[in-house]
Amino acid sequence: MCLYIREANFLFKLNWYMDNHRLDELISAKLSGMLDERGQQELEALLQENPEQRLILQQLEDYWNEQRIPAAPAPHLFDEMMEKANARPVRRLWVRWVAAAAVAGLICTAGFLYRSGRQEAAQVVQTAKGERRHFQLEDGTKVYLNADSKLSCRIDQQSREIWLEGEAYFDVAKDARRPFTVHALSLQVRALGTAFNVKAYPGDKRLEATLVEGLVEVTEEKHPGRKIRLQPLEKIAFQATDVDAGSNTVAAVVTPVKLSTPVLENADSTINETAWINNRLQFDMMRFEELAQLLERWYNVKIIIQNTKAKDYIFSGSFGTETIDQALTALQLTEDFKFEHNGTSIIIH
Amino acid sequence: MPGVEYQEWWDAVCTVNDEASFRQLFNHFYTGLVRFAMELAASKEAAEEVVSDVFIQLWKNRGQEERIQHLKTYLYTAVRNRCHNYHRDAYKHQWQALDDVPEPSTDEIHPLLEYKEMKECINLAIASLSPQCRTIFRLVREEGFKYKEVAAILDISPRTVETQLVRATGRLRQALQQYNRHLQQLSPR
Repeated sequence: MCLYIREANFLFKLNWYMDNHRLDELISAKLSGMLDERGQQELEALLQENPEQRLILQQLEDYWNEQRIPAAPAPHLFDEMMEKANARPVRRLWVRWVAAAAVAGLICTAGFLYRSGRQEAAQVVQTAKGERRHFQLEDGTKVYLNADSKLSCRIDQQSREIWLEGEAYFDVAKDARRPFTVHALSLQVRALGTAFNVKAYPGDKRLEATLVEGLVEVTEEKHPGRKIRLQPLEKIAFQATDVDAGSNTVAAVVTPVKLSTPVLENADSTINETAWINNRLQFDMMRFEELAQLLERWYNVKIIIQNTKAKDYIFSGSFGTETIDQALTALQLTEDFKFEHNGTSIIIH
Repeated sequence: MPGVEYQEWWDAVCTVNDEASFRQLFNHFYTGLVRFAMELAASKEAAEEVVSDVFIQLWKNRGQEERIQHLKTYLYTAVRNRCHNYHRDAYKHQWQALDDVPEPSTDEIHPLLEYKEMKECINLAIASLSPQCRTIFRLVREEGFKYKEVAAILDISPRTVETQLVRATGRLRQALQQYNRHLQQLSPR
């Protein structure tokens, strides 16, 4: 090292920096208990050179190993949690809500209704992956909540406000005096007596609103002045940028697209966008990568596509009562891929 | 070393639905998980709700055939995922600037003023770390997670975990170096 100092200050600095960085690496490993014998020797050598650092290491170790006894939570927290945990034993049955629609209406009304009179409390309904729910709001609006979604609402004398993360279909009860507004990520959909579908999963590339009947007005928060009115059977999609960061910033506004009529005869003449409320998963000319996301939510599985080429396969189809394995086997008829199903994850080769 | 007993509690929960053991688990993990949730996304209320929800889910799934193997990693991952989903108005997973997260109380094994001062110096240095770096440092130090586990929980690469931890160490080391020199100047031997 002495040689370097004489020859070039730069080299000295570089060396000094590298020593320091190496020291940080070795100390980190030592603190987290991952330093092996050779590392230990190397550290010892560095400390010989820099005696000042020995004290610092000691201080860091003292601090690192300081005993911590976290405060125990208040007992009522556990009791309250257990009350909730045991409150809804019927949860799993909701997957079959269509067959039991009438009953479902009753139970939901009893269980999830927002009680009028209380102003601030918001009702929250949530679905897990693979789970769908159907219920009615206090004003009579019917809601179908798709998998992996969360909905909360506040309904009072003046307004009906819904917050959505994920996908839901609304059959809005007519009430001209109280506007019905859905806030979904950066989208706002205002409606009067109408039926529409909103799809806005955090992290998804697209936010969508589809009107089935009536009239809605859609605004996006980056363009508050721009109100877009949809006609029945029109859909508007917003492309999100920077999806990896999950920010759902909207890059471009796609103009309304006329929906194609159903391609498949056995599809109950429903459009793809709302087939899910009849327990059908429908898709048309969709990239495998995108479809995999859909299947993940629908079946509550993790799908990993290892073959990059397969990501660009295009599929159209419709699934109802099929299991995930049956569904993938059906897709294999169209494109060449292999899949491997272990536990909760599926690997596509 | 804590960690051995919770596996037994978890076994009791899975095999005989033992609620008392579940309470032990809850008490054991609650405070650390809430702290973690607050660092990730949420207010204290939201963090508590997220953690409760995770335990509700855990209780409901206790009978599942495939028993959760790494309970602690599972809990932290679940909290992280829920935090991610939590904020409908903050669409982005945010590392919060957390001056308001309380340090867990520590028992006084170093009552010396000197130690307290040194700790103060370290805490200041920790506060100056980036939120992600701070969380990683805390997960390794306070929760005893391995790099790989932290990487899985936060959905980042183990390499990033290591880099961030080394960065944190460097920052602490610099701070202590200054602190020690300062002390020497004050009281020359």
